[in-house]
Amino acid sequence: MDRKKDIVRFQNVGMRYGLGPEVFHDVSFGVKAGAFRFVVGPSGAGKSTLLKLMYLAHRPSRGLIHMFGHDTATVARKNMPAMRRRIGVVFQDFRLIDHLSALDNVALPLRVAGANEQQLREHVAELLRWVGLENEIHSLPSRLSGGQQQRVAIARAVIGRPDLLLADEPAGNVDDAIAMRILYLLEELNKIGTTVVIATHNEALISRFKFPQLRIKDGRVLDSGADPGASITAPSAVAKARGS
Amino acid sequence: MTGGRFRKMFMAGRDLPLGRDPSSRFLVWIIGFMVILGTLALASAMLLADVGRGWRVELAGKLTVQIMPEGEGDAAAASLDLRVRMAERFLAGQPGIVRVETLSDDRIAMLLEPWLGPRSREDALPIPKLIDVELDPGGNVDIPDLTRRLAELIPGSAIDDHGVWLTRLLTLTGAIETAALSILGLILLAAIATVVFTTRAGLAIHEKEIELLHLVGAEDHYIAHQFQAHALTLSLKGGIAGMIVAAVALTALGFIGEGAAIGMIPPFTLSVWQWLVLAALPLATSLIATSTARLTVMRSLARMS
Repeated sequence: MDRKKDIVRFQNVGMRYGLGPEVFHDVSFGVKAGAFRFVVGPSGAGKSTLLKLMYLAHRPSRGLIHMFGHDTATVARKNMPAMRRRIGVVFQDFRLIDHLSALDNVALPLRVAGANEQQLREHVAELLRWVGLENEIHSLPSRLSGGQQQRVAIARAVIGRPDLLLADEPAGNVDDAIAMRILYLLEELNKIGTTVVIATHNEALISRFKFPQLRIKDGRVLDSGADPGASITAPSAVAKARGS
Repeated sequence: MTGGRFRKMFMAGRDLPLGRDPSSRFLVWIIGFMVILGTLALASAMLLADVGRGWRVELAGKLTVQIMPEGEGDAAAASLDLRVRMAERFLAGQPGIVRVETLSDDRIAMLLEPWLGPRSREDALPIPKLIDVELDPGGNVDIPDLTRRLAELIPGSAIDDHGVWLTRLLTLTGAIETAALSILGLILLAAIATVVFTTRAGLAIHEKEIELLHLVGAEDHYIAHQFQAHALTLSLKGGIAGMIVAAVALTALGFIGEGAAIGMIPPFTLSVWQWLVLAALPLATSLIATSTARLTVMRSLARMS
């Protein structure tokens, strides 16, 4: 991915649910390839909605959203899966499938892409080891703690080697120590080239990170600055999981 | 279908816990009952077709000549015998007739026994004489002309080529056969409606998981694969169980019908080919269920966006 290009570009985007009031008005910003951004704002400000627009769960009421250089309004339905595979998402509520083991949950993006089952299992097991869940590979989500579920969700989001990783309150359901660990984990992923956008309301927690912010206030998004880019240092397990 | 596609159909991912849906349990039973009813309807249609075909073959190229007795007493009996012999000679001399055989009094009494009872032999009823005539298949005999000439020669004679009552019987069996096939068609339509309902229920129940699969990049056919594999498994289970029950019922009917077969009603038995056709019914039902599930999912997902 060309680091100089915007991987995400919003132009005068407005968003409303049904006939309700607009959540956003005239939102314009860009996120360059390899960038790390926080989306901040109080609860209910629209952080999750902004991320949903980015991971193509919603369409904007007006304005243009370009993802990977494509206008999402004109992308044919049949081409959406390929675009979505370039995006990894850590959902606020994890959205793990209850009856699937940690391994099968993480394997989902590869399985839907038709990956070889043997290679898939090796990569998933290695990634779960990397996030510290080597002893929980076959555990169901109901047997995992909140922090462990969060790490399974992160592993699922990154297993498909996405160009863009979106995380919605990834530190929302865990204590500060685990939250910091998760943020460092995402920082590591950014260092190996993944563009990362994290939505959070916990500004104290992210104050230790000097990444630019998209601040949502009164339905508008304020962009705090330019992207600094990211260095590339690949931890071996992730590098293998990414197939490099 | 290639081995890979076949394997993929059965081994499709089980990301959606479709087996836990309450509707899944009912689908096996419903398909099972439908296959029982469908098999019985199809077997009935095939047996009726066999009966009609048997009647046509049995009676094609055959005539029955009936000579009524005139008067009473020994003189009348002697006259009847004389007229029968004359009719035999006349018929045997006609081109296109290959066999002429007068039925014995015992044989006639036996044929009448179901209607008149065993007393018919003793009763002084005016029983006609019957002559069984077999025609040359290529003889092209003019039946009305033959009837007219025989009546001129032997008053009180009549020829029955079985056409009228055979046509009526074949119309009746044809109507019943059509009704049986219509019932089979309705059963298949009901099966399709059931699968559509079950699949839509599954789509509604697993809406969140399906949304997740879409968000991680699943194409519609990946999701449809899971529903169609599920429908295939359930319909095969129900279909095979239903087929076994129907086969037991048909075999039992065959045993009962064997003893009850009389006259022109054949025994209630199916040929190997007919059994093979019946055995294909659960497979056909499964294929219909699988295709229906796939179409339902693909159409429903296409409406989502």
